[in-house]
Amino acid sequence: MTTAAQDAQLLARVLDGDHDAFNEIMRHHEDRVFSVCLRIMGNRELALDATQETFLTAFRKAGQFQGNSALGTWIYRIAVNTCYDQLRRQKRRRVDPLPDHVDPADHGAVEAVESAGLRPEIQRALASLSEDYRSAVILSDIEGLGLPEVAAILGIPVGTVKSRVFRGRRLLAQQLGNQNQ
Amino acid sequence: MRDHELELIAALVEGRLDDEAEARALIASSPEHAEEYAAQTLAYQALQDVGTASMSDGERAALHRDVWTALRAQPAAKAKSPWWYRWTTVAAGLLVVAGSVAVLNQDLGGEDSMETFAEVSSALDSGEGADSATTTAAATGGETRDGDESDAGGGDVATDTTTAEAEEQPGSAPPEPAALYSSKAAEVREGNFEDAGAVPYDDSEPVDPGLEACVTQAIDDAGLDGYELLAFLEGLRDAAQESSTTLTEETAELAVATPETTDMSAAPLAFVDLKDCVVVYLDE
Repeated sequence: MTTAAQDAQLLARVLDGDHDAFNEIMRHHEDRVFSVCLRIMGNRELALDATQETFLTAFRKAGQFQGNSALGTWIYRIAVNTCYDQLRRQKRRRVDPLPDHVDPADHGAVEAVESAGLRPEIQRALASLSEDYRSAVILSDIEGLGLPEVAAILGIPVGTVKSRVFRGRRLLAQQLGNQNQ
Repeated sequence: MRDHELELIAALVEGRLDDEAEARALIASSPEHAEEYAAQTLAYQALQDVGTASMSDGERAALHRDVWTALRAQPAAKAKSPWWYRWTTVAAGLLVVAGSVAVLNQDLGGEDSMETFAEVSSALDSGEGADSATTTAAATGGETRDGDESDAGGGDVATDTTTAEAEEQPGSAPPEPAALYSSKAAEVREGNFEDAGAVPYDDSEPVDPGLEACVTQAIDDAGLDGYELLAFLEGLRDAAQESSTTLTEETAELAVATPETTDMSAAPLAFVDLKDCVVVYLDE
């Protein structure tokens, strides 16, 4: 049976109320969803929240999956959207003034790095990229997904993915170079 | 630097080239190309070292527990009926109305026909024909959308809203969904959330995370950049006052989103159907 047929069968079972089917979908995709979320959010706790929300959304919208892409692609797209949605909400929440002696940028970066398990300079460099570049670079160069799949996840043409990955790398290199100076 | 040159350099960095001669020659041709190669290599290797992450056993168990705790409170979305099925229902409703009018006209004779038609129309508007009025509204609601098949579910919301308005004002014709959304948009722009039957979104208040994700998905699908959740509409006020439980899709039917940095008095507003997670109306 093809992957697409398996996906369709699993989703049909989910819509029939089969919890085991949804568990199977979760088990199959949860590590990559978490990994993508961790690299985007830079924090394990936030990444776990985003992973949870991703699967809740996937469950709610299971009836809307039309099989135009692989199930995984659809779920990773939800994950990327969920992560950026949470980041925007977080940004809005940061309205309370911080004490004078704390540098907000450093405080956030250190906290993120400690929980993300990344080399600090890489996490900082990733965090400095815009959403568009960051998601393309993470999906392509960290998660190792092919350009067509990245394009399907982000809903953009393959040429645009290439452009974002190349430019994202260049900006990342600049950031890494600056940090080393 | 041209696109194909950049692509060639990137392919060399990623080790995808069988023959590297052309790429190596390109890099040697100018400092700019050499610099690009160095930058791509530095970033690519740093990212390769990162590798994928995985959850600990404890995190995995917590994820499954939390997901299923949340899911017990919400059923899976049902598969949407195809667009032709919904239009068939609309067409069947209209046919029944037309048939009824024709039969009545026939029974009551020629010269009274106009009067009879008016009576039937009046009866339909005042309640007996609520279904028919709703059906027409749903059909009109479909025209306000982009024509995308995936957006078709939004007609249900327009239907519900229109019916609710009709019940509030017996005897009067229900407003078109577009007019209804537009009037609610005007209220929201002036900050009259209560008059619009809306509850302003506050991300510090408990809200079903699925609702927020639903709005985000709808906004993304509609290609509306920078829109953020502003308020929930319909049926929320009472529910919010009665209990402090998390707002769910049972209590929220529509959401309104608007770009983050705009003057509210002139802000475009997107109305999102929270059952199907689609933008059903854009008021600009």
